Amino acid sequence: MTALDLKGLSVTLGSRSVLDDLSLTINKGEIVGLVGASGSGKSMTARALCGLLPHHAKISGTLTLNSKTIALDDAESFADIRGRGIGLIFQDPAGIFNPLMSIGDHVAEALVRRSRLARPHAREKARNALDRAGFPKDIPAFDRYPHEVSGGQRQRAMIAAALALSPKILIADEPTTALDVTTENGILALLKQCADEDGLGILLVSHDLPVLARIADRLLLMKEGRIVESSMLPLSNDTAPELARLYALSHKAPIHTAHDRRAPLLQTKSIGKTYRDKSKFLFGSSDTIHALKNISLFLSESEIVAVVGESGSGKSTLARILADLDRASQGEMIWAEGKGRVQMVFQDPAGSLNPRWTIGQSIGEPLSLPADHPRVAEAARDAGLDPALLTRYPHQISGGQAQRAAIARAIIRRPDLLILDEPVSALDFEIRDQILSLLERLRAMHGIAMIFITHDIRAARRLSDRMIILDKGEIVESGMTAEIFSAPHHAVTKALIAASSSEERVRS
Amino acid sequence: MNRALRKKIMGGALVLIFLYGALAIAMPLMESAYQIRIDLRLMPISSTHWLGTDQFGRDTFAMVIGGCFASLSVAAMAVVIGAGIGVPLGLIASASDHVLSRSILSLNDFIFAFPALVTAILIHNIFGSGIITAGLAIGIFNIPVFARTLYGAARPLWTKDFIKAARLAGKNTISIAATHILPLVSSVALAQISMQMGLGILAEAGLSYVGLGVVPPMPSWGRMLNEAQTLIVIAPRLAIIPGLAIAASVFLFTWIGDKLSDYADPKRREGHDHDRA
Amino acid sequence: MLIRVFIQKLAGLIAFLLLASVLIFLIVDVLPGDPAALMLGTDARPDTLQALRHQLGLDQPLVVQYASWIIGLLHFDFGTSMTYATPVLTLIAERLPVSLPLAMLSLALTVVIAIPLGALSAHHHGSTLDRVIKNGLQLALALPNIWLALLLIMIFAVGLHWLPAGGFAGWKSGIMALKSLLLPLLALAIPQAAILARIVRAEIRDKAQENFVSGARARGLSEKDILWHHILPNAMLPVLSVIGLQFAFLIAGTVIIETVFSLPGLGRLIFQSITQRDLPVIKGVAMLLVGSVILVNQAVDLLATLIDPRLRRQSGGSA
Repeated sequence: MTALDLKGLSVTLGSRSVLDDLSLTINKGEIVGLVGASGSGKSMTARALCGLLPHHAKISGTLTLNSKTIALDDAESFADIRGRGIGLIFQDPAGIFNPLMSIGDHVAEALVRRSRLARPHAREKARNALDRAGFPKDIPAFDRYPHEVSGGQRQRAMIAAALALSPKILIADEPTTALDVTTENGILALLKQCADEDGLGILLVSHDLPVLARIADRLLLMKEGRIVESSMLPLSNDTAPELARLYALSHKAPIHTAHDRRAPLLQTKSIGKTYRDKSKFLFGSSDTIHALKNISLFLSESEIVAVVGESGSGKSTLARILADLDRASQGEMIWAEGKGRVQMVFQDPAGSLNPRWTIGQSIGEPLSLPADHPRVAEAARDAGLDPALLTRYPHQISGGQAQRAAIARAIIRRPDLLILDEPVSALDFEIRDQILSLLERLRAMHGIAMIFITHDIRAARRLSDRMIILDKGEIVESGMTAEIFSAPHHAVTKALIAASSSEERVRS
Repeated sequence: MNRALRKKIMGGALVLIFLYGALAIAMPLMESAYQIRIDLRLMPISSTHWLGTDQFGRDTFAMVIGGCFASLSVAAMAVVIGAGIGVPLGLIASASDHVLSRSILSLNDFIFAFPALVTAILIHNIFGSGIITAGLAIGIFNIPVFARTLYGAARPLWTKDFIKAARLAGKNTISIAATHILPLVSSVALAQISMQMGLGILAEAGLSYVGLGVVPPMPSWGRMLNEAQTLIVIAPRLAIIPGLAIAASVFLFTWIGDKLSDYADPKRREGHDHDRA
Repeated sequence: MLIRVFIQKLAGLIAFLLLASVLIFLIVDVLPGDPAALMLGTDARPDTLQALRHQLGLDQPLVVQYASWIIGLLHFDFGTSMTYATPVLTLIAERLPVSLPLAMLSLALTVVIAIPLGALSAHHHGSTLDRVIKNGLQLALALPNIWLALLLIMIFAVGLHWLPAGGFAGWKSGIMALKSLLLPLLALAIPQAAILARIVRAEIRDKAQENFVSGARARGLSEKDILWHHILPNAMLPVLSVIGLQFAFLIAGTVIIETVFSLPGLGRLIFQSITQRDLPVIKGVAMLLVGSVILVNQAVDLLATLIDPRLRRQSGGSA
């Protein structure tokens, strides 16, 4: 039964055609996955379905919802439909909630303002919606503010708020991209539950194909403003070759290198890091936070070790200590004779480049080289970056290119160790694969050892020789990557592996 | 900052300096026009006295020019003090740990309690009236203005990853401040400088009106307003002209400050038309 | 917890007031050299100077001088005026009924003009109305309040005879009192309101583009609800602290404008005491002015902390 029918959506911004004659349907209780790279137009499609495109955009097409058809540029009808007919949730950067309003009030707000419910009644319904969305029952939602709850909890609250007026359709734009794997699983299960139990039709927009494949009933592939492929799951090579190809990327065989004897490079002995929570007032006692406890690891030359953990596990703290950007509170770091050059690549490619410097200037910085120095171009080429881009600025290049530039900057001084802090998490799915291959090539070419920090155990499997699992600041398991995957010991490891299993379908 | 804008700013600054220099040279030349000559009192606008004369026989046009020199001198001195101390303070506060930056910000808040007038009253006993008192009094209040602005602009930059990358490249904090932070906040600082020049001219006028600013025989727009007050019925132009001069010059500086500020903080969000994953 | 916050702000207030008093004491009594010579002139007879010094307590060690001044302040004894031989506090109290309402009303008027104007401009951004308001504000803030005062006098007092050109008949004269204050209020408020309105406009535009506004829209709220319940409350927080800062400007402005309109307020007292080197009055009034700015700013700070949950809660949540 068709719940939503979109016909002929076209959007033009200025002189540019952004979306071209898009049509799609969503059935009752169906989860439709919309996948595509950055710039493909998928977010714009999601917004068009809610009437939230910028004012100056030219829109054409129609939308049929509950047997009523409206034009897509009909702002008035959309103002009525939003919330009541179609709900929308998106990625949760910290600012998605009004900092002055409690979580509970956010959920109750629509009920008070649009359904004209009395406050106490609205609050009761809001509490129920939050419970259904899995928001922890022991947190007093009306007494907690957005900055006081975690990302996963905020996402659940956002879902509760979106469904408060019982819409039939939910548009979810990258709802789990910023979340840990286990939290992500919880949110996906919740969405599946809403689809199965309440007949909610969901359009799930993401660049992460494996995630979609686990939950969607149908997949749509977008490229350059058009839907180019569509398929039911499971994917078959004949009906959806492009989708199948992309899907296969996540199942690529791990990069294996011959395990010959390597010289030791770095050893840490019982590294620990404690902080004082300075947000407390003078007379109050400050809490001591143990970010890292008893971290002992060793690293050989040319070895790639993955450090896997969820947020709060201490992996970023460890990265900073190993890079000497921060000092350990306890323990010591011992380098092999004459070694010790460390460089780092960060999660957000654009943020790791000075926006007013050219790419060439940024790459040349570690050696104080001018942008036109031959070594700068050489480093760029090593990182697979076209030297013609060296005169551009960060906002003029793509995320993948920016990350290559960051890598070029990191390797220009031929470091002994390269620390990569979530280097591919912010990148498009297809680009991730390219960057991981690049890193392996660089290891083979220059013999650089790498510590690959990530919450994505899939990526860790692809690239690393050995793996260390961190939980609450401690190492809970470590060993050869292949062995850990075939026989995990610790509960956390098992949970991480299970949560990112691409084969298992999400159950409600 | 792109080249075209940088050239414009340098050009504008040069014009200003040239203008100020011309004024400085013109001042002694116009001394005769500031003499009290009762026989020339209250003459209307004519070809010899382009804006007429005041009740003391002084040529109003020459007084306006002289007042311009006084205003610019005081405002510039105040900006040099304010920015010279405030900008480094703000940058240090932005780069520091919790304790130091809190202390600097508290100090800032404290100085904010001393508007130029109060400071001028207090130091009048030491320095008397004059350019020094006015410049110092306004300058002291400028310090927290600059410190606060620069702190706000620089603070979010220190946590960015490219700063960490610069540290890994071996640069120390001062080098990072010079090569990364400063260029990124320079347009904010320049905008504030222009703004404070305008506000400084306003403040100087107020101080001169009550006698705490520049002293005769050096002309001052504020004092001209004071002297013109009793004559607003007979010769309203004597009150209108200096005020117009003040308003025009303040408007010029604040307008430039606005344009620089727009550049420094482009809210070009309407132009972001392509989505990212 | 709230009590902690209150104590924190109170401690800050006291610390600032103490520091201000030390500074004022140093600048007025210590730095110029010999206050007695300052008051009597350098060619006064030595025994007269000595007598004055003793009378003022200047032969005591500095710390004692400061301490007795401070203790006096706490007992509401601001010293005695050299010119009037009256307690400084009495002199101040006589003039407060003019200065205090003028300062407070001008602050109120500034806010009342600025916020609706700024909000209107922001709401219709890009339209002709917005551009007219923006340009008008830019012109208005460049107006020296003295000149504006003179222009207002020329038009409304001399020209139209609607309002007095100066003087104050006392509050007992009812409407006449308000009429005397109207032009001064306008001269003070208009330029300050222009500055504030621009900030209001900028903050509202800023907040309107924040993510939480998209979130509210996605939840199906009307534009009106979004404006009043989301954008404005968030925009008002930074505006609040600006208002606190503007108080300093308004205090200084009040003092000057009183002189323009010959109002019997603190302004006249201050400038007389400067000419006559009446140090106790200068110290007392300076302390009063600085103290009230500090008080208002701390109060604004406290208010912001009470309103904004991010400042209130010392316990930060997990990211």
